[in-house]
Amino acid sequence: MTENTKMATGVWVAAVAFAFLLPVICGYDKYILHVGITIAFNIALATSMWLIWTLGFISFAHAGFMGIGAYTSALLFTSLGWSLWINMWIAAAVAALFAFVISIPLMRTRAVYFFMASWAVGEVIKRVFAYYRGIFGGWDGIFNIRPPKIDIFGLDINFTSRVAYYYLALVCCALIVFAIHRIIRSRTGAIYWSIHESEILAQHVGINVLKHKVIAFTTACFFAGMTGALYAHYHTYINPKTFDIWQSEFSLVHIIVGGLSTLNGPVLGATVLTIVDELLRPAGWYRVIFFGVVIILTVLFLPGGLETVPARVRALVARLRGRSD
Amino acid sequence: MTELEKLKRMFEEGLITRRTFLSTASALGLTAAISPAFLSEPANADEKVIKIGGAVPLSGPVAYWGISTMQGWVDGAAVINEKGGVDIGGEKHKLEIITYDTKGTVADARAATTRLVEQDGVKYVFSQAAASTIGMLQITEPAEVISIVACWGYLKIYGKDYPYHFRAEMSDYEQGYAYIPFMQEHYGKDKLQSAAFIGPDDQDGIDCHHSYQRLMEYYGIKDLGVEYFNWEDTDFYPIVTKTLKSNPDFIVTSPSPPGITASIVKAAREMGYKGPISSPAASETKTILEVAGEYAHDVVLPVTCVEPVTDTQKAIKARFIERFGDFNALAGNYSWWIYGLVAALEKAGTYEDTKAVADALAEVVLEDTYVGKVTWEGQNSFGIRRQGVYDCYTTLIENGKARLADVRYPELPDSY
Repeated sequence: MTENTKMATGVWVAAVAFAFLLPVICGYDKYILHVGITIAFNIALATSMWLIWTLGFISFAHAGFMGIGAYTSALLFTSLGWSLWINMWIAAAVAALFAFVISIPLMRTRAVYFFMASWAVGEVIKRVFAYYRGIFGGWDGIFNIRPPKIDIFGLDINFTSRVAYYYLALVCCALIVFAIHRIIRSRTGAIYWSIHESEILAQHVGINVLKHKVIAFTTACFFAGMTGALYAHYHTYINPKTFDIWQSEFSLVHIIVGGLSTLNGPVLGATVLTIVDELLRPAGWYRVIFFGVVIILTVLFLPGGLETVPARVRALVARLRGRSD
Repeated sequence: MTELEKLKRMFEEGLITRRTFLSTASALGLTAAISPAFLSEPANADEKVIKIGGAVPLSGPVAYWGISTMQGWVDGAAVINEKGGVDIGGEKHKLEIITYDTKGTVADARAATTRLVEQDGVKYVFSQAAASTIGMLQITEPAEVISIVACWGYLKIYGKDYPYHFRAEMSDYEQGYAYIPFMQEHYGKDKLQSAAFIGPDDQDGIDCHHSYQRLMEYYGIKDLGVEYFNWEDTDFYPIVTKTLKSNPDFIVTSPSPPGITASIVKAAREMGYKGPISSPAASETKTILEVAGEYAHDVVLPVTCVEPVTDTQKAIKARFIERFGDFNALAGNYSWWIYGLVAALEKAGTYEDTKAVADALAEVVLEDTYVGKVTWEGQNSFGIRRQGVYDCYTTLIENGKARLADVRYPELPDSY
């Protein structure tokens, strides 16, 4: 293990430890826990979107698949009374199933054509939720999607509690990030990056490009569907607008500001930008402008994103040491 | 010398690089610009303060509504504070308004309301539009926090199961009991035998269409159908063409902002339609007159007091122009909300017991506001009086000119 890898592992461990201790540190402040839960959702969505990016694609349908997961779980709860514990996996599987079917034609497109096609898929998903009022509640959406309860060895945990839901969101987010980390660090991850670098070259060395693209897209949408289920049971209300193209665009911004080349990027981007957005909330109508300024400054002065900050700091320290010597 | 000037001098003297200069100057500019928004007027340490929170859309597509709502509260609080504050049990309390942006989304509204209730400790919040209201209610009702909002639809989250939730703005349904009788008197009942509806293809459009259907049934007007548009639409000719096929005596479009109302009016007139067009949500004339131009004729705009008439209305307009640099009739419509709450606080003699304040608020009657007389109604329809009802100032645009044509309190049915 190199020095840098050790340091990165240490930072990750510290970040996870901090996240687990946050409720105690903030004195169980419900607002801070709410922001924490929002960060967890944003990380889960951004990292799963980033998985598709490792192939060289940006999917604007990603929030739509989150919506499929959310609606699946919500409908199972409101019509059959099934709990999130079961629904979450069914929701993820349904989102993955739709993603698998759609990805076969979708993944044959490239560049701007993929961009346009994924945009259309995202819009169609939203419109289907809105159009079939009898099933999905139309624009009105679905209400009363309650959080689950669990009985662990006689200990009743009700997830209507903000603290309990925070830990649930945190654990699920950590699982998604860890799963994507394992995929990217494996041989499969290397194949994805090779497709990203040169699809034609990857094909010529014997990689079944379409198969890998379909699998990656389906896997990413599985995680998006899972996030959607968690989102629905936390907010207790969903409607088609929640999962429109803007949600996908926010995730894209999280990835770009965080950095595109490692998994640290979407995690950092989603965390920092969610916090910045919350800090700017009192700024009223200036909020969007400030948010834009923050993004522009980051892109201008931090090319490569927030993930490059540690390397920049190390370089700066080395330069300062060099000067003092 | 300001920080920026110092920075400029350092750059000119070669002490800092261009990049450092640009980044530091940007940061300074950002800080300077953001400071006024973050800072609220500090309350005196020995003054008692009642905090009122706003979770309203200040950015995004419905920001116009959110900003208008906020202006009403900010202006009202300043006026009340200048007069010494709110008298609760003989003790004066100052009002402090804290406002957060919701971008008009459910999730953001929930976050903003959580911050208001949990961190700022407010017991009274206001909001604007359906998405912000839905997000807000998840927090306010369990916490027994009073919410005062403008929200027309989503009746499943309104009524006796939501005792702390007040809908101050009259929806197009209540407005109908004022502007339809006016139209029948003005144009003749026999000339308004049928109607068609145009609305946005979303829940707001569906809810407004439902209100329209109930009104048509009540007044015995034949409903010829509905056409929905998308918010992104800029060409309204296809929708208006389909609407005109059924040959309606008049058209209702709701909730259509002024620009869309103007486009519908223009398209209809260009295609030879002569009947009146009413738009209960436009609440503004300038855009309609500019966009529709010569075609702006027989446009009926309920709850739109185009020009202040009473001394109170004139004073509100003058104050808003002085305080915010501008005034619109919509902001005027929202200006009474804070006075209603203050009347309830003084009547209840408490600000901590929100149940007592909610009960008092339902009984509040204001006689002289920007919208005239205000009461809370809805006992028979919703099992609780939580819907604001007030004098409906109807503006009529004729031959490219807007004038206040009618003022009346809605003739609500007994079943309401």
